[in-house]
Amino acid sequence: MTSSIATDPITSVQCIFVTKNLLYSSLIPTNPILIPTKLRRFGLSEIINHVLNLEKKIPFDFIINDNVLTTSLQTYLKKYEISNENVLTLEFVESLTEPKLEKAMKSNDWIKCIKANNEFIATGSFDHRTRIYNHSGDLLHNIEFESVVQSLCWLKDESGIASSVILNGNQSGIVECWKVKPDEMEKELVFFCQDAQGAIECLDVNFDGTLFASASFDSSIHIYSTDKDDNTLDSTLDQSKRRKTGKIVKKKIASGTLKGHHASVSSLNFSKDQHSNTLFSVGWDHTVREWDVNEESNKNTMNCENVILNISQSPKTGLLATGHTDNLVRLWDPRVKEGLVVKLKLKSHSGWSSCVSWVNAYNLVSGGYDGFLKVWDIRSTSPIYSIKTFDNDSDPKKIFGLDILDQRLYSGGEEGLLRTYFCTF
Amino acid sequence: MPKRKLLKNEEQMDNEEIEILPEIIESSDDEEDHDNDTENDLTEHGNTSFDENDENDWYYNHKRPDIIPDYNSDTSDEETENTVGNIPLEWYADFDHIGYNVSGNKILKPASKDELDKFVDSMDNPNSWKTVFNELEGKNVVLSKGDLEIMRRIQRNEYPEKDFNPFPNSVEWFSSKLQIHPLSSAPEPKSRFTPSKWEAKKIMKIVRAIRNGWIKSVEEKKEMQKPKQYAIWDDVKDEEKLDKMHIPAPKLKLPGNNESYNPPNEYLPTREEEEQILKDMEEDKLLFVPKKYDSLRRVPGFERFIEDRFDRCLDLYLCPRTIKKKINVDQESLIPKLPDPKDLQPFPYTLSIIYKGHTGKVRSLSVDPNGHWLATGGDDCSVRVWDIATGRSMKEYKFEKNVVNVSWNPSKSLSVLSISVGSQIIILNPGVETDIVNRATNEIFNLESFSESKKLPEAIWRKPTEKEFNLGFRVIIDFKKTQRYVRVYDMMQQKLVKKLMSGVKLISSMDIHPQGDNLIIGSFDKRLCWFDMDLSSKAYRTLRYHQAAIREVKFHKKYPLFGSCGDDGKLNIFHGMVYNDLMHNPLIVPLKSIFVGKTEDGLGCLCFDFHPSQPWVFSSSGDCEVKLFT
Repeated sequence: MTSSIATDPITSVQCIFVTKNLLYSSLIPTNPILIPTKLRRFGLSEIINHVLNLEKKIPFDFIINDNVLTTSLQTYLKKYEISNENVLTLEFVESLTEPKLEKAMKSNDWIKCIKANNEFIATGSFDHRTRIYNHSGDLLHNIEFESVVQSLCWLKDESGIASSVILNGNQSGIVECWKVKPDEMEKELVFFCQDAQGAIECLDVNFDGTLFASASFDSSIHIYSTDKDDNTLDSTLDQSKRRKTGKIVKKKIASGTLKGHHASVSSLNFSKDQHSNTLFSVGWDHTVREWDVNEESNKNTMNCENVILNISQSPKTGLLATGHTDNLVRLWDPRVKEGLVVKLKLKSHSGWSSCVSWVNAYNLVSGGYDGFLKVWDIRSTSPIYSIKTFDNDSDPKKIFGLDILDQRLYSGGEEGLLRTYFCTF
Repeated sequence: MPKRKLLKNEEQMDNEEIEILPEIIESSDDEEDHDNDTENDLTEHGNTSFDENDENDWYYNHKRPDIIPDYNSDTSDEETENTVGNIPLEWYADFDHIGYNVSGNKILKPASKDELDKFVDSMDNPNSWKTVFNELEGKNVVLSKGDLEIMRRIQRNEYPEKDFNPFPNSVEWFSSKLQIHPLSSAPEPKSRFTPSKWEAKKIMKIVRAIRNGWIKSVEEKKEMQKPKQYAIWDDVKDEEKLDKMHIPAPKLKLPGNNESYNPPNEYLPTREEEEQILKDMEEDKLLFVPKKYDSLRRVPGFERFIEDRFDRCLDLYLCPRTIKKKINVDQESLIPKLPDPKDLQPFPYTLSIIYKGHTGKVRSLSVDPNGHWLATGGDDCSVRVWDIATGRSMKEYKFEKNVVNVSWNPSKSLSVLSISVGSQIIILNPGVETDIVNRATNEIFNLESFSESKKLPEAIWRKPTEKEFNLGFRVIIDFKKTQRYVRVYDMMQQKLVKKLMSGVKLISSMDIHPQGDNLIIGSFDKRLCWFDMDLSSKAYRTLRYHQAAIREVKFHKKYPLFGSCGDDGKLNIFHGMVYNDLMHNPLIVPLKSIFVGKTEDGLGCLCFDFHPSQPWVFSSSGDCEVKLFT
């Protein structure tokens, strides 16, 4: 035993643990603790649990100099050439647990998009239908359209909480606004919009719920107000063969059109900033464009080398995450006007990364055509979790849509299953 | 007596003399006299009187003349009475004379004195100790003081002459210091100014010798002195150098085990082999049958010796008499400098999406001008319309015959797809676009005008039935004879503008560069030709990158890319940059060879198409799939 100790000396390093979590920050001692460097995340987590004297064990993640610790302390010190005589400051955060599959609801066809709000989960699929479920998984409504439902968006109430009004953008360039009720089977077409020359690729509503925008394959973006009586004409949906009632429906005219993209606009996202009416859009012309909605002007254009499929803005930091056809997820800082705007390239998908969504200031989830959902921490360049959504023996099934709401992660795609994951976001 | 410094005065010398010659001490009185004499002598030295003493006379006579330092200054010339010369005197021993004087008279031998006389003489004559008998003269000679002095000095290892200075002050006539006056006042001779003819001749002689290699430099000499080494094992090169015209004779094949008189058994032919050999021998292919003999003695004469020798002579006689010169060119330098493919991005290189659904080979595919839809048709008698971004098959049309070609209308505001099936062309609106576009498309076909007027004898235009109309069919054209005719018209001038010489056998496909002046042709003999219409009517470049027939070639509409696909299942992507100024030739760089899929029934990648706005390429593969590469 003695000889083994002699050959394998236990080196240790002084560490100070800090946290931003108010629950633990008062409990943790501020003086450095001597910790053996061979410890990894798990060992460090044990120590924190012990120090905090927690009854129920909580796993923690550790961050050194904005890098998530994925290896042992020793290899980290070696990699960054830090002497173990230094005092390390380790920030610990409650770690994300691996998302657990809760439900997988069968849908008839490939799912193109998913949007959830406090009451409902809506999926748009290739069989021209929007299905609306409640959170316990019951199918409430089934709205049929004349072409593939490309995009969905829940409007916001005045109260800011759950609304039962949903926008459906479909491939024939029509946005239909339907009002559904949770209890009854009743549903009602509120208005429709038919300004786009191409398929509707994406819909989004702004922060205070007064405006929504539709992105079209014909490279234009249309802005509408959400008020159902504003800017409307009386018209009938004459193209619809299935609804031959000839009921008079209001047709909404676009209050503004944003032109500037050279190719299809694939995704758009209203700024999460309450006071600015800024819209970010991405497209097949390899650009991220920042628009001022009120002035209908293109404020900023950022370029990259590849087609952009999806964009999501972090509600807290304002960073933009985009999914690309070169399988990367890129992070952009929209405040930077010159120089390198791409801050980080996250490389792990082996197919197009078709959808991205931020979880909090540091974490985001992306789904790809390789059939994997990946959970990222932007402080490390490799994904924390890779969730496989297809069987081992089958070909990869593309993921087309994902949404995150209240510790639930919803995903759907070629597989035709609405998967619900529980995670600790 | 105290020793004193030499050469101070005569007295001192004499005193010392006494020490050296002790037998003469008795006559010291005489010495003193003599000393006095010499003192007188010295006083009289400057005078010319010789009266005082005979001995002194002799001394002075012999001492007087200055010795001129030339060849005459030899003691042999000293004047003697006897003129016999320097001969052994024994020769005169039997004569009563000892020689002859100047006038030829005999000089008689002096009367010999007996011992007593000699003794008396020595007792009487005070000078007897310094008297020497001169045999040549036959006289006694009394050595003078000077002679004694010389003898004494020689005895003491001194210079015989008293005043001789062995170390005279040297006069530096030639020194480093520049003198005002020349050593010689003679004028510079003319020869100093004229080039010497003889020197020139001498130099020319050396020069000629050097040129002809008769004179060697030091290094060459050293080289010559080294033992010469011959690399006997790699002498081929040396031989070439030595005799460039030497053509080595064709080498004889070395004898093997077959030729042995006692070959191992496995080399002996079996009976069938022997028959074969005999047959060959008749055809003059082989000359002998391997046979085994138990001793060399039993080996018979070679039957076909003359034939063998004759063949050998023929070999020697017919061997090629020309030397083929190998051109030493660095192969690397022949390869043109091309930019790195990495710098020419973007181009498709990786598989992104597979469009699955067809059950037969895909014969044709087309991307709609907006880049949203992909139409494919193939051997499973169906046409499919795909959503490019998701890989979803949106529409499927079934036909009774194989689909040969599908193509979109290039107008961006219309959605018209034409399909050729068997002998029909079907024009349809797939209805995948927005309502606005669909309506605009339908309106075109609602016009009645075309229905009757555009009838041609070869083709019958008809409207689709209602069932077909609901599927989206708008016009159906039935062709009857077009298998035989292809008519091409020059729309503007109605004449043949140019004939391009491709040098290939079967042209399979052709595409024109979006800017117009360049053209690519793919052929079934695996070649792709690039024509620059401004340059010449021959191919600017021929690319052979396929192992099998090329099926299709296409240009990208936006990016400087073009590609070719072939039956080897490969899709080759090239960078084809056309410059606007006429000075630059188009730059063609092979970028990527994509293996699309395995070939089936000898058919690989049958068709491909570029995306109209992205650097993407769609390709069909042998296994009924369509693949998107980005």
